Amino acid sequence: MKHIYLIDDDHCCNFLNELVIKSVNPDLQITSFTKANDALEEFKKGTLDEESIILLDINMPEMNAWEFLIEFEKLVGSNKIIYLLSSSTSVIDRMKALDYHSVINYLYKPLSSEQFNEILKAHKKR
Amino acid sequence: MLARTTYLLYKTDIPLNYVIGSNLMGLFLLILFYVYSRWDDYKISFYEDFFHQSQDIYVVRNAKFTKVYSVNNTLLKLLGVTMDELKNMDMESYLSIIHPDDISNFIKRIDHANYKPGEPQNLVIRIKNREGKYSVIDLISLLSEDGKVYTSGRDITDLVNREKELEKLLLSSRLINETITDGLLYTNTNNDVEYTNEIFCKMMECDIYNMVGKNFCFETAYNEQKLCPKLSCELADKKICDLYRFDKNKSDDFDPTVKKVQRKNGEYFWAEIKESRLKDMHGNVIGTMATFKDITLMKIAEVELRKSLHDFEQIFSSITDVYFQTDLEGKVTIISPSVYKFSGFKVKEVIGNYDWSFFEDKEQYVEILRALDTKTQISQKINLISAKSEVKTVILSVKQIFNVDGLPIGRQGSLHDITFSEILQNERRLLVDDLNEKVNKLMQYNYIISHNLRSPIANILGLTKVLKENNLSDKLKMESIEHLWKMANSSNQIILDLNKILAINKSLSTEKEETDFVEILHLVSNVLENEIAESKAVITTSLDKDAKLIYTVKSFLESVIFNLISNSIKYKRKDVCPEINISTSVINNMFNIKFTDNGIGFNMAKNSNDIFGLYKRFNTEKEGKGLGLHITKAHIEALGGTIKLESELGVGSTFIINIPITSKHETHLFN
Repeated sequence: MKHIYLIDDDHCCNFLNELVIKSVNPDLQITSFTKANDALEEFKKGTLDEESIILLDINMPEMNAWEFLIEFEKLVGSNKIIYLLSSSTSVIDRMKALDYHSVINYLYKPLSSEQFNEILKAHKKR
Repeated sequence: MLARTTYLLYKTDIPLNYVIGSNLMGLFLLILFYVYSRWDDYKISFYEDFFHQSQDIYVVRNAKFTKVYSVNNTLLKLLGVTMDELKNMDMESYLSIIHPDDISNFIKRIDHANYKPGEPQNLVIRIKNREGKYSVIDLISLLSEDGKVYTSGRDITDLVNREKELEKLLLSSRLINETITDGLLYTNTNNDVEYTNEIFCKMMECDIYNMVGKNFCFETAYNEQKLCPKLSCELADKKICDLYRFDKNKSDDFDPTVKKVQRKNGEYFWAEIKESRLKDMHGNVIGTMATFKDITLMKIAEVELRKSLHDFEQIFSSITDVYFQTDLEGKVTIISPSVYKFSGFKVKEVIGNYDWSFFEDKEQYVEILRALDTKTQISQKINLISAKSEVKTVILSVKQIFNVDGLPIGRQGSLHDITFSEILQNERRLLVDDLNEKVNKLMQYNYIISHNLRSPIANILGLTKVLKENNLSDKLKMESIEHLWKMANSSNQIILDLNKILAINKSLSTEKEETDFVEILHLVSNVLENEIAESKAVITTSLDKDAKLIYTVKSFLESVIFNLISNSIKYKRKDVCPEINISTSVINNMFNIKFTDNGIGFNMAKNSNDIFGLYKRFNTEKEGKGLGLHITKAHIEALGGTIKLESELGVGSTFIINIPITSKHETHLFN
């Protein structure tokens, strides 16, 4: 069963994303983190597999997405399981994001059910 | 002298003619004498007195020179002998008084065979006179049919001597004439040309035969072309004509004059003319002698020089830089007229004053002069004080100057005004700094709008879409609405924050006032009374006695101190009472505030660039928006100040703030 991890310091955003994911597939398992650091600690336990998908916010206090990505790739290698999710329309952020091996795509907030359907479809094909 | 010599040269034929004339007269008298004596020897006695009084010598002798019949006193006087002594003289005696060089000639002439009756024989010989010197005698002898020889003669010693002198004069005159490079012109009192030389003719492009004997006047020459068709003069300059129109009232001495003379072909030449009056032995003026020197080349060079001088003056007066020269003492001797525009000083106000008196820092100028050696030129930036006491920044270039003998005679320098470019450069630098800052801020706000403001809006959009498309449970619906409300509030708050910050950046109001720093501390302490009490914070101050009053915007400074103290309390270390120290001092007219706490501190290695950034948060355990330090920095910068942070995680933080004390230092020149 696929496991979706949400990392965003904004509670509201996590709540919204859960609603969207559930509306697409209510059976999917979802775990939310408001701190990137907490997520890393969880992943260190070896919880990730090829079926896992991470939706990662860029701007977060203490540890932002870039810092997280460096640590993440050190930890689990360049598994392509991460979608960056940002409210920023900055082109620079987008280009920077796609330089990371573990990043599949860069999505703009808000996440829509259509978008998440696409993600699931793409993931099945792999 | 030259003139007189030439005059004599011209008159040399006169004494020669005279000699010939007197000899003809002598011959005529001799013939008379001969006729009478032939008629009756005795009748001669009637004329004896006449003959004895004559200047000429008369001798009647036989052809063989053995007997003298008659002789006049003139010969006796010349030889210093009596009649008897002469009559007794033999050939040997005669030969002894004749100059040795003339003896052979004498013997040849007295040979009877050479005589033909009626044909006069001429002989010039030198005879020793009564003084023992040789007199030159010109003799004419005539053999009569009765065998008597009639001789008349004359002492021409003086004439011969004069002739020799004249020959010498002639020679020297010719030499002068051949070597002189000036044109010569001798005119008589009628302004007729008596003499001129080839050089003058060449100058005038005129044949010498068309000059001599003609009336010389430049004007008539030009108008009537009598003298020489090519000769002309500059008509506008009538004086050159007057010069040669004889005027008895003119003084004898003329100063040399320089005239521009035009030839017929239109060419000009410049002549330097020197004149002198010619006088005869009685002091009567007989003409004018003038020399003409062609100084055209010199004149052209002079004109060229004057033109280049004029050009130089034009350039000198039109340059915008200032050029000056001084004497050895440093007194200004030359200054370009540009100095007036440059400094407001007039040329005459500068000349004679010491050059260093015009510089702001006299010591700096003296230092430059000390560094000058014989070769170098020093260029340096230096300030000048204008007549209106304004400071002008100039580039000074200065070097020593020397005369032709290599001795120093002073210094010369130039000043190039760079005040304007300095101002421009400063303005540009400020402008660039200001622009950079503005761009940075704009990028920051751009980011805030693209991220922080968009973030709640994205959530609102997402949630409303979910609510619309899905039939959510009541519980989820309620939760969604709760979130929607938060997001709406959040975006509203961001807009309020932005307005607040923009308001700080936009206005430095006229609310600046004399502010007592101690009073601000009291105010803030009162507001934060509860927080300070709860946290058991200790605030100590060390205020410099000169750093208590500051002319600034009171509310801004209040906000800064409020933010710093409340942050120190909010981000205190666990189980450690906040200790805050605030010290002030004045450094370089800046009010310096050092704010130190013992809080949790910052991770400088990681976050030093974001400390004062908008919505930057470094600790998530405490509530916060990431606004306080951003606003603090905005306030300080609005006051023209700076804020820096030194911090160590888990040890504490020190904020160093510098604010200008006076409002005069406007940093918002371009706002």
